[in-house]
Amino acid sequence: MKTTAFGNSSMIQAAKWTFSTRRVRMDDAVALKSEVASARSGDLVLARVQQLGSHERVQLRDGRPATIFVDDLIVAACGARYASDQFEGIAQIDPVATDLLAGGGCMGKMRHCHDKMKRPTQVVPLGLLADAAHNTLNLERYAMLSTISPHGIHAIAVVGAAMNSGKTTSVASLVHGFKRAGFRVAALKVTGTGSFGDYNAYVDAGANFVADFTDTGMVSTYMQPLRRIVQAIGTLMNAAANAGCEVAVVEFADGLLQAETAALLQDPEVRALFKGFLYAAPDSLAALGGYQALAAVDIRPLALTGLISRSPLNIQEAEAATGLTVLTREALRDPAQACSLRNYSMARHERRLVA
Amino acid sequence: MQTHSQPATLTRRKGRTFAAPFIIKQAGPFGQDGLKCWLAVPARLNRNLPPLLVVHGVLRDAKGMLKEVASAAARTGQLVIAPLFSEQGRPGYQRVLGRSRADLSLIFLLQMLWQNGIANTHTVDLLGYSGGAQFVHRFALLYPHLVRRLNVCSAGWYTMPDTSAAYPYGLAAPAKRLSGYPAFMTDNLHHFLQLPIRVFVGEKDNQVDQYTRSGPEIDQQQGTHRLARAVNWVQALRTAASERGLQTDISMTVLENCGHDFRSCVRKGNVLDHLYAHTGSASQVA
Repeated sequence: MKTTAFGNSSMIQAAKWTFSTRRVRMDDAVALKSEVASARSGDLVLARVQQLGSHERVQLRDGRPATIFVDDLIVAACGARYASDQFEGIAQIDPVATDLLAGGGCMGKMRHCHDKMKRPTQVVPLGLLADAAHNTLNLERYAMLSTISPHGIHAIAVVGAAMNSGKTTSVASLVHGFKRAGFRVAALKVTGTGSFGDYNAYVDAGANFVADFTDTGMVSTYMQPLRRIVQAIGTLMNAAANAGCEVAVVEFADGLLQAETAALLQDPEVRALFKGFLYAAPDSLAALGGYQALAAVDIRPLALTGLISRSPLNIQEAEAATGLTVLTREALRDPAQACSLRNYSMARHERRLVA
Repeated sequence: MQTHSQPATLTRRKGRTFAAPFIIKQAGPFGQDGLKCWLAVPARLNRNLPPLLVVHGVLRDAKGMLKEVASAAARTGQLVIAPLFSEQGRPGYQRVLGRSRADLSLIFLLQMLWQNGIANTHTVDLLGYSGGAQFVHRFALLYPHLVRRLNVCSAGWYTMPDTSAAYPYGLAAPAKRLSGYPAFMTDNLHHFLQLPIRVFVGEKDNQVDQYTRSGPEIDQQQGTHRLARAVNWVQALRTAASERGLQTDISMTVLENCGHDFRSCVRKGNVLDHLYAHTGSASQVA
């Protein structure tokens, strides 16, 4: 039997609200609905920590980490997660016990786990958050409005071989370089799972505007319809342009072989949004492999970057194998380099239009 | 930020005293290199105008240069900024890149002036004299988006729009690693060539002197003296633009009766008239 229990407001408000819920108006949550098993991606769930596992902290909506304890209450979103170095899971809530898939506030059912990881932290879902009209609160309700911008924005995408290939560091470094060069710069993350790590890195780098897919109503882009992700990318880029930004550095999470990332890069409509791509690789063979994979979808990166740039020998190998320049994070942070990268991407883009 | 003001100078006319239209201030030092600057702040500052950034020659008379241009700038409400690249802090400032990154010092200065509410430095007009002219055109090659107008007066030599010659003689990567040389320098040329560029040189600045960089290669590439080099540089820019199908706004003015002296270029050559309006007795090459 479905029930909506009112009078839980104070319990809901006292919970630890996670980063993925940062756009939610907390006062809207005045009731709990018992049918947790019917939760869909983005629905907000109040849960009690039952057993600590891999995640002993969560990321709060105000941007700070918080230690969690058994019996703590948390609010997170039902969602899927794809993290090759951590967990893969689906947006499914088990009324008995559910897995915390990401500390940024994503819960679901874990299916695969990297062997370095402990078992997921287990939570007991107490109910779906609901408003006074019995409607389940979903992140989608709080998504930023989609607006068309009359201004263009010069966007450079950063893609990578895999998780932890240096994408976020590259994005943050280039953002900083553009900032030093006097540009108003946006940093956007368009795929992945809600987390404040990358978001905070972009803020620290000096971006004038920072946003990610959670601002468009998704706790994670894994298993989301491609159309929805493409629209979200457009929404974020328009928002950045309307905020007065002249350039945007845009991160695609995970690696080139991840399903959503691969599908997006194969989409000519998505590729057309960007003046150029940087490819972050951990080593020279990954650089060559990624270069070839990108060539298969008609993308020739502007340059290589990422972890590879820390090794002079890897740099030599990769440059010889691909004909591309490897840019270190120091180079990306240099305003002269950032400016020339922008001009280079513009010139290449214009040549493609003419050809 | 430290600022030190000097009282507005007074002029006397027919027994009455008039306040000059600007105040001279010193600002800085900024950053770890201690880059200072002089400011000429008009009494009626137009905050919608980009400031005029004037860059001194190797004798480093930043304040003197500022004083020469301040009145003309003040008539339009334009703030003038004259950074001082010291001998110790920035010995090779005119080359911009290298161990001493004069560009980074200037960018930091502009950011500090903006953050302190002194000037809107999103874009600037540039005026460089001699070594300063070398600096401003190279700075504009690196950061064309920061420049509204480029004015190059009596440069000793130039970075040619030549993608086969190594920087600073051309745009290609130098054989030895050079700090700050960007990987895609040649792609800045497209934007640079579309800037309004005004080149000035004295009619009598056609002698090789102690400050002229000379040698078989540079003489072959650019000419032997400043007048010839200015002519060749402008021609090279126009050729490069034409090859790229670009419309340009590049002019060169030979200043009558002027040699290699900034004050003379201003007072006899009327270079400021050309900066602010095309008038005066100077002969225009084209």
